[in-house]
Amino acid sequence: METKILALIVAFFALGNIPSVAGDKIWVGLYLAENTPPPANAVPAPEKLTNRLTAVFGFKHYELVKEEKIEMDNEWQQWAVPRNDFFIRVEPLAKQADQPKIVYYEIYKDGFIVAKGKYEPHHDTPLFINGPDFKQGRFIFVLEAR
Amino acid sequence: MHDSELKKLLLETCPVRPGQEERAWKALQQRLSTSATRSRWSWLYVPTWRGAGIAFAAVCALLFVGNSVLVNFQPISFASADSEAPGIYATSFYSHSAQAQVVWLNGLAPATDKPTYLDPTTVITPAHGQTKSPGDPNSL
Repeated sequence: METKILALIVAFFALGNIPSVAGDKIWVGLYLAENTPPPANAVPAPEKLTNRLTAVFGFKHYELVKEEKIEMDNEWQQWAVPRNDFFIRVEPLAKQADQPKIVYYEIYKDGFIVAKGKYEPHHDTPLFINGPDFKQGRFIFVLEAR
Repeated sequence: MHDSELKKLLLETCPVRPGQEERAWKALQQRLSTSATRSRWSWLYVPTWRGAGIAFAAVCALLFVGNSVLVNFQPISFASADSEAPGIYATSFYSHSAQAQVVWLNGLAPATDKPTYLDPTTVITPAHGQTKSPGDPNSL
């Protein structure tokens, strides 16, 4: 009986810690959204992410162009440069006591900063950044706590 | 003239017939009971415990519904976005249908697969499964 109670307590605390463990890294992916089917060797977005992206952008297919992982503990600027003309700079800000972790980001187009902002990573709440059109599709940055 | 003398005089001049007082009292009771019948909505303006209970329940229900509505329609935002270039408009919003935060940039020039003026950065070999558009010098 005592073992079961101990196991329950351990499981309870483990469940409570899942979001914080999951938020140690920021995954940055650049997707190319298209309505035409991507080539056979393309890496499609997972089904859940595809449904979410479709709900916002309306395209049928999302092909992963490039992905990066940003360490949340490293509070210095980190870059995700999937293309020459469209990339993002991410900088995890120093965590304040009793405050959520915040990352600062800058979006660059053709070498110039076009937008900046802050993002509070949450488990299972990705950030979609609507990028420039490309041919018949569009580039989309996806930032996700992992 | 004292009251007792007046009463005596009245009894002598106008004697009360047997049962008259009883009938008059019954008639008065009937009138009183009829006027005392409360309407269906009297609890609204007459302070009663029943009215207070119903009012308390109504206030609680209103607070609960109001709170639910506020929570559902309260804008959630985990991100901010500010434009840093003329002609570029940045908006941040939370998409309830996608359960995701969205930063929408308007006014971006389309990306091209033609070489830009930027110096080519170090070419990185695509990882397994990652595709590179053939002939797109901007794709790293």
